Amino acid sequence: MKALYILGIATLLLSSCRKRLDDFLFNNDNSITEYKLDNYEGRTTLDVGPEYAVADSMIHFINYPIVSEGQTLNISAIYVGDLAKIATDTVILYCHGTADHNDFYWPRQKLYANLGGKYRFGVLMVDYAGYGLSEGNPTEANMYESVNGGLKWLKDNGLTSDRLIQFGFSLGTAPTCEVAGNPSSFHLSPSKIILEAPFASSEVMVQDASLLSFPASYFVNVKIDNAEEIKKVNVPLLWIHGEADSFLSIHTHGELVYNNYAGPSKTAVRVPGGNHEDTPFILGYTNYLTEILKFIEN
Amino acid sequence: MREFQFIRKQFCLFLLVSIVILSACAPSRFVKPLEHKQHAISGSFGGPLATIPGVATIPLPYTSLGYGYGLKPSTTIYANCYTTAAIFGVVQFDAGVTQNLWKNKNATMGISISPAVNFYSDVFENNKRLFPQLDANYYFDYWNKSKENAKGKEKQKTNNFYVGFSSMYDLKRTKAHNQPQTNHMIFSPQFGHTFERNNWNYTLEVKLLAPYKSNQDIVLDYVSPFGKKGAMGIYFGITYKL
Repeated sequence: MKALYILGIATLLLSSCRKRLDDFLFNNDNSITEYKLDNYEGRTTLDVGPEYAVADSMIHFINYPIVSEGQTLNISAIYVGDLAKIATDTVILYCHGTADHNDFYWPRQKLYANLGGKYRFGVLMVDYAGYGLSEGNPTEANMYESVNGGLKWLKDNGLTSDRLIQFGFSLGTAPTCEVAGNPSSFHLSPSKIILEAPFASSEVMVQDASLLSFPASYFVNVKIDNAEEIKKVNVPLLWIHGEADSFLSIHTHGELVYNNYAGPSKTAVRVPGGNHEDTPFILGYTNYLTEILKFIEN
Repeated sequence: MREFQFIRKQFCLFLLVSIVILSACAPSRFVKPLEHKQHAISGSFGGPLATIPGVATIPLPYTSLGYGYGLKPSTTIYANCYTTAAIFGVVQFDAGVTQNLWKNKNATMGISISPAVNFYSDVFENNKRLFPQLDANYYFDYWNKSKENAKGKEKQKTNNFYVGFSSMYDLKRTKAHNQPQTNHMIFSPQFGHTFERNNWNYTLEVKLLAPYKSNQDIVLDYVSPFGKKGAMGIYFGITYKL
C-alpha cells in the first residue's frame, strides 16, 4: 500500500505541471529592432543574385493594428511594389514559414517581386504576431488575424479579391488555406492560391513519426488542419513540393493536401531532389518563377 | 535548407515526445516473474536515441513508474503509469501479466511472455487509444551468489542476460484524414542485462525499434544500427522488491 501511495503522489505531482507543445510550432524571433533586408547578417532562406535586387523606392515598411485574443497588437509587414498599382493590378500576399521573421524570407520576397519582370506584381509579406517587429505572441489565432490585417490594408489600398493571389510556404500554408477556405471570415479572399511544401496537419506529423494512430491532441492544441481546410477551397491551386522533402514528406503531407482539393483546377509541380526549403534553388529560380507565372496568368 | 534545419531543431522537441509514446517508451517490465506474493515498485528512464541538431545524440527522456505483484509462482501482474506523458496532459497506463512458460531445473534460464494493454487518453479532447502489446524473452542467469538460510539456499546476487522482442499492435484501420493505417504492428527485438542485488534490480536494455521501417522524412533524426531504418532505444530500469 505504501508503494502505491508513493506512486500516486508522484503521478499527481507530474500531472499537475502538464505542458503543451504548441509553442514549438512557431520558431519566431522577435529580437530585432528593424528590418535590415539585404544588410541582414543572420541566416536567410535562400541566396538570390543581384539580378533579383529591388530598388529602395519600391520597398514600403507598413504597420497596422489588429485585435486578437483580446489584445490590440501592432503588426509589421513589407510591401514591395508600386503602392499606386494596388488599386488596379494583381498583388501577391506571401505567408512565410515558421522561421524567424521577414528578414529571413526577404530573398523570397525579392524573387516574387521579379516574377514576370521587375515589380510586375506587388508582394506583401506579413510578420505574424510575435515575429520580427510584430507585437504579441505567435498563436494560431494571432497568425490568422495578422494575415487578415494585411488583407484589410490591401483592401484599404484598393485591392479586390479577384486580383489577390495568396501564397503560403510551409507554416504559411495554414493561413492561406484558412483564408481561401473561409472567405467570408476575412477582409479579402484570394482568386488563386499557391501552396509550397504544405503540411497536412499536426496529426500527420505525429503519426509519421510514431507509426501509430496517435491523435494530435496528445501534444498540441492548435487546430491547423490544411488537409481538411483545402476541401473547402474553391479557387485554383498551384502546389509545389520537393520530392526529397525530409521534413514534410511529399507523400504524407503534400499529396494528401493536393488530393483533398476539390476546387476548379489544380496544378502540381513536384521538384525532384528538392528538400523542404530549397525547391526554388533546385528547380532553378527562372524555372520556379516561370511555373508560378504560368499559374497566375492562366 | 537553413530554415529546414532550424525548424527541425525545434520540432525535434515537439516530435520526440510523440515518438517515445510508442512501444519505445519503456524497457521490458518483468522478464522473470516475481516470487509468489511478492510486491515490487519500479521506475524506468530512456527512449530511442535521436540526434537533436546542435544539442546532442541522446536517448529521449521518457519515464515511468510501476507496480508488480507475484500472483502465482510463475505469474506476475503489473501496471505502470507514464510520467512524461502526464506532463503533457496525456494519461498513459499499461497493465499486463508476465507468465513464465518454461524454466530449467535450477531456474537459471527460462522463457516468459508478457501480454499487456497500453491505454492513452488526453485531458484536452478526451481522445482515447488502446494498443495491445506482447513481449517475449529468454533469460539466462550466468552468475549468482547464494547463501544458506533457514529456507535453504537463497540467491542474493544474480546477473542475468535476456533477449527477446516487444511488439505493439495498432488495431485501427485508418489514421489521420482517413488514410489507411498500414502499420498494424511495431516489432522490436531487444536484449538486456539485469543486476539483481538483494531487494534491488537494475536493468539496462537495448531495443531495436521497428528495424524494418524507414526512419527518413519524419522530422526526427533517429540513430539506428540499421542506418535509414528503425531506431535504437536505450533504457534503464530499477525495481525495488518489497
